Amino acid sequence: MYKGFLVDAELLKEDSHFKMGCTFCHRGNEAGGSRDSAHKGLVKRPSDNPEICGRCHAQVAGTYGKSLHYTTAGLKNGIRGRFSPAEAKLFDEKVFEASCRSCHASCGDCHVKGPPVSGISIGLVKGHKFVKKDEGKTCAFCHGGRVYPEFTGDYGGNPDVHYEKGMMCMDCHKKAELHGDGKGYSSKQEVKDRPACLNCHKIGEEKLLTTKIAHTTHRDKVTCYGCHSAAEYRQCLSCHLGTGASAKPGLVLGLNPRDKKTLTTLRLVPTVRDTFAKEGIAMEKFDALPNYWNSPVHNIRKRTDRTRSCDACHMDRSGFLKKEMLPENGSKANEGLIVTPRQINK
Amino acid sequence: MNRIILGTMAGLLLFAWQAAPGFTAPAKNGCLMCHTNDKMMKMLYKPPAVTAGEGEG
Repeated sequence: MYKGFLVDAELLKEDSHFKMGCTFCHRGNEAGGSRDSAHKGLVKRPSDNPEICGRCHAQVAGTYGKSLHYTTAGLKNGIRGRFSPAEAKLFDEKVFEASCRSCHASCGDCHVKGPPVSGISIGLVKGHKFVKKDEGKTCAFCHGGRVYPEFTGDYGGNPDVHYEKGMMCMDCHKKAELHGDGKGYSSKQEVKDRPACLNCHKIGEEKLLTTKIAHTTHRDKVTCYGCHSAAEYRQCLSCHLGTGASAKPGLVLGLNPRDKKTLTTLRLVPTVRDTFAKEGIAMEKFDALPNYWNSPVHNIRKRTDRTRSCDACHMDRSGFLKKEMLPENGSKANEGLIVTPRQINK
Repeated sequence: MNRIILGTMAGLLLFAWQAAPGFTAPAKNGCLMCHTNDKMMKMLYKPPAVTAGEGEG
């Protein structure tokens, strides 16, 4: 869409970024008399190199180069456990840089122009204005497959209660988390300051005694999502498992594959045995990791079937991962996530 | 004589004051001639070739 290249002339007076001229960031030739000569040496996405922004925003650019949004190290390391050392090397060379790494976000992807996903972009966020944030246009475009529509209810389920109260992505995911703190993390699990429900909702401050008892009883055994996920959420098999895959959401409860002791919401990830067959990667250790991963779902409600009645889990066992639900030819590690809740006597 | 000098100085000051924004504003640049012109950009725009690729969730 051509508007992705149309600068709002009014901004030239009010936004200090324009005082330096276009070529300060984009290179090219401002005096070029034709399109070709003006675009000679043009850098389309200057902030792909954080040093460009770092000339004025040194601190942020300095940490951002190591942030997970920029390195996409989480994508690389999440799957690494399925590879032999030789396969991991092949993956880094043939797949990661060409595919996963292309999803890294530059400064401009969040502050100027929506990032391209499969060649499509929402264009300029606001006429080339350097915006502080506009989550509905920027976060939503990359994280719009599941997280954002889950949060807003556009997916067809219940909107997240935080969204209904007027909160947006950055009310929980703080600037420091997105810009990085200068440390190179291998996954978001390592980031200590990532959002946590208990940052705002303190145990012991509940108004109702029944709530207090429920929280105390389940603490360290069930994650907040385990009880407060409102409904079914998108499972990746809905889009990714190829011909014959059926599109259906699901609320799946099982053990967190990262600790094997906490009950939580699981999401089926789209990696199958032949995902990288074309690149000659057979995934020799495919069964070392399950197909389900713990998922911080974004459809939270105060009251759900599981908070209203103990029976939902302890009698009906609704939503719990069962052997018959496991994907055909899936990882052998999946079975280790199945848990049967203890039946309670009333 | 003093009136003439004062008048000339006042005229010069008035000129300088009015011309000041012209000195401080960025020089006209060629990029903006096209990139702030809706019709021009619409005419010049070539849609990208869209290929299938991975989406993020």
